[in-house]
Amino acid sequence: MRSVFVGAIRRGAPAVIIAAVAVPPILIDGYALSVAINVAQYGVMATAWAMFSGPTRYVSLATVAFYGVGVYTAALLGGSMPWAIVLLAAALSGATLAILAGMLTLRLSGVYFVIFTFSLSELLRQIVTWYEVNVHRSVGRYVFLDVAPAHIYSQLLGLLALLLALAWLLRRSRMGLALRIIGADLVVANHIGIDTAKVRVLLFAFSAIFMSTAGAIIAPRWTYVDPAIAFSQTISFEVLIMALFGGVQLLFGPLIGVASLCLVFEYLSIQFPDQLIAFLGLIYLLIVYVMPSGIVPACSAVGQVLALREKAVA
Amino acid sequence: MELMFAGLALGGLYALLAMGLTLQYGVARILNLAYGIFVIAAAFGAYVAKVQLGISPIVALLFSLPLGFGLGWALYSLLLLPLVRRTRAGPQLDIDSLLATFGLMFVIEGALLWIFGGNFYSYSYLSHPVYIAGTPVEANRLVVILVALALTLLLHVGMNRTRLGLAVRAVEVDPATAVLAGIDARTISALVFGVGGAVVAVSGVIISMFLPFSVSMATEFLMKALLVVVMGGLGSISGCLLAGMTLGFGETIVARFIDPGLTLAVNFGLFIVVLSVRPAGIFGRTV
Amino acid sequence: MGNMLGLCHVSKSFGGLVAVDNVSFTIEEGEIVGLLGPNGSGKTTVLNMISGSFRPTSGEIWYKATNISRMRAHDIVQVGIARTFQLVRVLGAFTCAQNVAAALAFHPGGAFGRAAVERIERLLDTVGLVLKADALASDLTYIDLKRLELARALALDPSVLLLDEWLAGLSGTELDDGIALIRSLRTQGLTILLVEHVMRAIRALCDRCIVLSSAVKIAEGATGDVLSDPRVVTSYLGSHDA
Repeated sequence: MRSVFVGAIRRGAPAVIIAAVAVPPILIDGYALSVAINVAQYGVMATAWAMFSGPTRYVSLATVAFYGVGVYTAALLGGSMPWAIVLLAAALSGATLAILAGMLTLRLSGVYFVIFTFSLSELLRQIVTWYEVNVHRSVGRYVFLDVAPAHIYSQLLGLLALLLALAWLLRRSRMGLALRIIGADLVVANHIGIDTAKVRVLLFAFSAIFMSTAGAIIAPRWTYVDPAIAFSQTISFEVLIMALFGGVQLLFGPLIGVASLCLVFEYLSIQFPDQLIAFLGLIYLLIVYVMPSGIVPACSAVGQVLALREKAVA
Repeated sequence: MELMFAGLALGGLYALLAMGLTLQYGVARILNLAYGIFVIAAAFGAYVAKVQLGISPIVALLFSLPLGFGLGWALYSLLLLPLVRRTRAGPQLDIDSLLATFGLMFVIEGALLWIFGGNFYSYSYLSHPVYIAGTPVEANRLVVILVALALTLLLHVGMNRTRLGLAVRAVEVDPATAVLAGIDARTISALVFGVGGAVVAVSGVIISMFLPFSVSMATEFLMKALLVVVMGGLGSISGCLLAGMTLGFGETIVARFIDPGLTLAVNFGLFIVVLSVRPAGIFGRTV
Repeated sequence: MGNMLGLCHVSKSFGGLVAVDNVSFTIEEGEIVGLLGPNGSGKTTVLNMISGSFRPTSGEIWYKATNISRMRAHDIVQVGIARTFQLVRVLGAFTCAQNVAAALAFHPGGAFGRAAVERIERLLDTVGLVLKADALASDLTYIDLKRLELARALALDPSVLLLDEWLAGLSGTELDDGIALIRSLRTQGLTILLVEHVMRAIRALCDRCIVLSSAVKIAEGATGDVLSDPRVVTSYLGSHDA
């Protein structure tokens, strides 16, 4: 019976999560809405992250680089341009940055790619800081954009829905097959005619577009941004661990990870703000040592064991 | 002249920092991302010893060697070896060890933040000037330079003149073949992680002597050590010294003549350029 | 009849080590040519350069009228050259059918999805794996892995096939089957360059042979002549007992 239960969770979870995430914004109050916005924002980024890093096994820490670029695009252009143009500009800047970074990292092996993406985020933070201090003459800036939280939430949901739909299509497409082959064996991929370099760069850009757009959408939520907030490395680390926690092999895996960890982080950041980072570390260790493929496969494995035991008892 | 000593001290420190990392990564093929936080932890250790227990940093330096070695050894044997076994040292090891050492980094960082908070710490030790050829140099900087040089020399001799060093180099070049010569790559890796741990501990104590430090500097030290490792070429002790000095002097010069706010940007920019143009290292041999 | 593949003064060095030194030869359409030589003589390096795994340090490689020396692996596949690997490389987590489907999906003459089903079956049938279509590649025996690699190479619709010790490790009837299979490929119009140590297969299959020793070409000609060439015999003695 329990295995049936686990199976039901596995099949039903996506539906439950979508329902939970998509609760009409009008129905929920300010605090719940801010949590929901957070879940939606991390949902976009973790799904986009898993889209690239899942099949290619290139662990990217550039998430916050793209996100921050989006935030700053909105902060700079938001006052003077129509919102649609702002979002488009954010998406384009993210894609451009990703294509450049992607082309520079083609020859790098796994570990160096991680360091490169981390450095890229840090470099952007330093450059923006320097620019703001020396040219703008103030390290932070105020973002006065009148967008209601409920509106931000629906935009993020729209983005998430678009991303999931595209990710679903991608999985069934030729490109999706190419990605699985690249993840399995790069040499084979090259020798059956896949332009692995192109696929990798395109996919990196594709996932970056969603991260940057999420950053731009969320920007009006903060009235004040500075580089330390917009380019906080913690965001990259959180997105990474949420995606892995849920499991990157499944379309809805990252979302499950986001839904569970966002709430946990939310609770901890209020109750134990000083221990949050140590807790993040523990989750990293938990994932590596206890459930390397994420919580959903781990649950179904436990389910199988339980089912076997029940059979043995019967 | 003053600039030269500042550059030398910083360069020596960076070289020292990178040496432990290059040994660990070059031999065990595992990038220890918790490296930076260990450095900071050692600096806090020296701080507590000096300020609360009244132990001289020089004494702390001596104690830190075996302690760091033990911790490094334990890190490899307890946390990383299971991963090496599980992945059979395949490509998944890269990702797993990355996550594990990141996790460890956060746990220690969290613990340090909890105990010490996010402020900068420093204490005064040997900060009186010594005159060398008429130029005043803070005595602690001289200690930094001397310790860095001594350790470089020690490691260089250890690697190139001893039987154990030969075994280490054999594993570095080809772990599979080293086994045929009766060398156990895993024992050597654990040993090298221990040596790296000792270097970390010494670096941390030294940093506490002449720089204010805070928990948040851990990633900065990690990145600088990585930068030097990549520039110097993996596993090369002399490459470390050369690259470390280049970075130390470069930073001192940028800070003095251009803009101190740009030093970090220059660091990471340099890193990205090196990684994309010459991943095998500027001074490194091609593998 | 025309030149399918031509190497023109091709060299490759890794650091200071010269792996292939000034090698030239041509292969005509429909030929089966053996590339022989002791271990480490540079045979696999030649295949790697032709298939685009890496570029020659100097010299040119031509496919018909196209200079492919600077092309990357995936473009060379599109041109019409496919290869197998000395150390078998299949996608272990994929089934046999999926492995073949993967190779059909990324070239203009290929197929994807439902359109590919029939071709996958035909290709698996050609190599004798049709009954194992749904078996995971990681569960296959060594012989079957080799068959699967060949099916994958054929799925790329090549006109030139590079086989890197594809017959190694086969014996008795398996070897006879393998030889018959390669022979049947030639009748379908394929041009084949094979790196091989199995003398029985070389004698049975190859019209001509090219022999490398220590990175240099030391002999080329009809199989019988080449195998009795004293220089070839010397280069093999002690290093390979064929």
